[in-house]
Amino acid sequence: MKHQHCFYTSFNKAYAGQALMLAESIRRQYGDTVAIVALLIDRLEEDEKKAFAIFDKLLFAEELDIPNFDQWLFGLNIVEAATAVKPYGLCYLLKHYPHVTYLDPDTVIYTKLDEIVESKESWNIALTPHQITPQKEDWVIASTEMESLKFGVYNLGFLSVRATAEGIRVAEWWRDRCYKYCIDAVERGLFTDQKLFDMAPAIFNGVYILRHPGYNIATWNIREREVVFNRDEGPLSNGQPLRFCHFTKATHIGAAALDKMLGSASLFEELFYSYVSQLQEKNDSLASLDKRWAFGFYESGEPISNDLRKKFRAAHFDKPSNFNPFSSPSLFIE
Amino acid sequence: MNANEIEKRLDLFFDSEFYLKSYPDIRKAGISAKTHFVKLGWSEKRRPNGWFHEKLVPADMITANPGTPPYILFLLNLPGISMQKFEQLCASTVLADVGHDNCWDCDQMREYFNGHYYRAKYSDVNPDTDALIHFCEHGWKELRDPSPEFDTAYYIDVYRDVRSASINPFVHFISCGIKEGRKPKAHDPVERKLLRSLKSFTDISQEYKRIAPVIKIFPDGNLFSDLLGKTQSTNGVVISFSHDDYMTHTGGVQKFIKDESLLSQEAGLNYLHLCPTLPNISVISEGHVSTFLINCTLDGKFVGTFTASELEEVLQNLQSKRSGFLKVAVIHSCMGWLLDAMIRIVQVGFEKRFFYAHDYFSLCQEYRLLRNNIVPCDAPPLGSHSCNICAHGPSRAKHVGNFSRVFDSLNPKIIYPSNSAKLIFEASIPAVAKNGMLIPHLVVKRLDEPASEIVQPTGKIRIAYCGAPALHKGFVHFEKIVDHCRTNPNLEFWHFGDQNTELGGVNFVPVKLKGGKSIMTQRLRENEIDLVFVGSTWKETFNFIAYEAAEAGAALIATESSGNVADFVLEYGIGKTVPNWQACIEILEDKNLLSQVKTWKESAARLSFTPNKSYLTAGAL
Repeated sequence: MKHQHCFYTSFNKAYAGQALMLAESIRRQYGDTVAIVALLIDRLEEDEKKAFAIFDKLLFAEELDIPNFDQWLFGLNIVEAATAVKPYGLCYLLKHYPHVTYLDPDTVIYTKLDEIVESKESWNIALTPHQITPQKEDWVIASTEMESLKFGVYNLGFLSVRATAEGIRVAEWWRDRCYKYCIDAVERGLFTDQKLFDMAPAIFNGVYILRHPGYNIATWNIREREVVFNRDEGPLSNGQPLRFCHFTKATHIGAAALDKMLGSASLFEELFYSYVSQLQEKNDSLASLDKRWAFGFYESGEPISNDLRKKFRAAHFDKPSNFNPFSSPSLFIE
Repeated sequence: MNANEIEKRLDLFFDSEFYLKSYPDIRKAGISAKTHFVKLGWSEKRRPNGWFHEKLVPADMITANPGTPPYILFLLNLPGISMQKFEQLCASTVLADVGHDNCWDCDQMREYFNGHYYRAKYSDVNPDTDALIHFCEHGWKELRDPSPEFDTAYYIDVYRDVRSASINPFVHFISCGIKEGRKPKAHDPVERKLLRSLKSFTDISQEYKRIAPVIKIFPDGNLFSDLLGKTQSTNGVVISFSHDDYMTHTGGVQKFIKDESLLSQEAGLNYLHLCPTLPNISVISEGHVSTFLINCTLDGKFVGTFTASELEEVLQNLQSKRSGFLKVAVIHSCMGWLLDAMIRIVQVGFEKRFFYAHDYFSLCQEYRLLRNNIVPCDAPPLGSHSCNICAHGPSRAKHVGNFSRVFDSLNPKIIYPSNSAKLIFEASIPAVAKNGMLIPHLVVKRLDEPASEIVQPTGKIRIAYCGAPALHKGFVHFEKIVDHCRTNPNLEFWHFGDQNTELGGVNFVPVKLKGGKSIMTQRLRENEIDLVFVGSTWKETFNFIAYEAAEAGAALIATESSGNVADFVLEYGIGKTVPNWQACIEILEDKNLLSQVKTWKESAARLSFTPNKSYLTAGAL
């Protein structure tokens, strides 16, 4: 085993630019001392793989022995699918590395994650909450704390797991729950893979709730983090080293959300627009990559609607059979 | 409040001239306007001045005080407006902005709408129009701002629910947005604008590739015979490199090259200028000398397009015919160049080599050294924290590596046009930078007596922005200053340049090069400009505007980060430097501004300016 630590991210080709930017940011900090794995819920042609050479390994969801893969996947939209495969990737990687950290593709690390990678504490999994301090203003509470109660207290754009017995138990629990419950159904108390983790501190040992202000900085917590640049120390958040940012929706939508939440000047705003600019450049360099989701179409080339996926899931999830739903639209539509 | 104070307010409030002009019956009757209004006029709904309207008094207050004239209630309570605003209103001559009758939107906005600001900013709005009605009916849909405190375009951009509801965003903000914690404008609109303009150089480079090239194949025989013919009567050839054709593009570097060309010819030298046929903001990393196209201008005349290999051959032939004839090579800019081509051309035989530090392109592709386009970074070491968070950081190592080849191969002498540029180069690439010398474009001297007549301000202080309305030159800062100060009766704003932005409340004066010479000084002097704002966000290596302004007898306000401009202002005491545009507003609103400007102008008038002679000053010959 070459590496003690493995970072991985899960994405489909539409997020290839983000995933590559994340990988480059990890390489800038760690060089080749860590492994970086790409978990793809998509397919790549042989010549397309060259663009992903920065990763030590390309792990395809299809190769992870997910039961009834085609039927299971057919019942998920793209966001649900990209998150539902995360625990399968984790279980696989924990067999190969003693410590595995997941990062969403739209994150960028700016300094080494010492509190995780170099930690001597005996924890099994580490989580970062969306917010780490109570808010005061009503509208901020509504936009942050109340949202976290709906979508999950911990942001699953980050998860670090050690290959201890308890760490593996967590990974397998997450995998099993995600198989059935990784859906966007907030009204049922479910939100993809994330809301499930509200349970984790109650049912597992050694859950490290990492309240370091330099981790997972995003629009949902920028209100509680003073992000500045210091020429000698680099980027800081509440006086501590800024570790990584999470640039959800790096478009005008994200920009508007950021504007809404920013109370005063913040380095985060500069980092956001810098990210947007670099992502544009990265995506331009990937212009030849066919970014359509390989599992977004029937074999005939006809697109599959999310509505149909939902109906299929409701009708077939508990009654798996051998047919391949991707083969034809007419097989199950009544 | 006692009767005397009410009387005092009434004197400010009542406009006799307006009243008599508006009501000819009173004028004809020859009675006191004020007496008529107080006794009868108010009950006849006559207006005491151009701006007051009963709607400015809350309806419930009128209902609760049935016997009291609404204007008295207004004077007693001044609902929602301060005494200062009251005095401003009283001093105004514009019509009241009372809005539509029975319009809920107007009722909401009335107290917050700033008619003065609106009229000053939007001069196309008919001055006889009720500005509030204009905003209510058209203005918000045209993204006009109702006050300096509310940015309509921003609000609609950030709050998509407001945009999709197609409602007046100002009304939304007043009626519920404030309570919901929504922001009326960006916390730093200037920085936001700069950040939004951030693009990678790869993307900008792609845009350049879409520009149609100027290609003109050498029309008369070949360059060699032309050169050889011309050189019969001269002492040698100077070759210079830059990013574009200095004869057709305007700018500081182009002006400098033009002067350099004339100086060379006066010194008995031919001046061969080369620029890439295909302009670009990057150096060209993929290409070959046999196919890289170069546009050539000889002694100010465009002679044709050649490949780098052809040029190399021409110069080799010339060298063999007239040994020692290739005298000096001056590199002004490497943008758009295949650096190998440049190196090979210089290495044909130009022994004296100069590299002009007009900008910081050799230290980073972000040639102004602005981290993410906004923060001066001073070219920190590769891999620094600053590069790590900058959009231009990842490509910098390769870029700097390319320039190392240029410096290693050619070993040119660096010419710094200012000390601020020299300091940055010395800190960033000390080994290369030590082979350099400081030659400012202009030599400044302080005289005992004023060099020209001092025209001090007598009325409003005239403040100007000069040059292209570019972000990094600080035009966006100027916009914010104007936005805050345009209703200040003591100030007047001007813009001198070749591109009219039609900024409301700003007088535009077109200024173009005349016979290759700038007429900025002349125009500033003609228009008696008192103060020039230089808001450069980067450490300028040399900015002519500041010197032209001082030569015109104007004082300067410059940003602290403006490099040689800030140094110039402080060294000669001709103005002030500021950390940001907000600090500039504080200076402009200071009650001592007039006396300060007079002092600064006296200092500026005592300066004299003499141009340096480029590489000739460096003793190249």
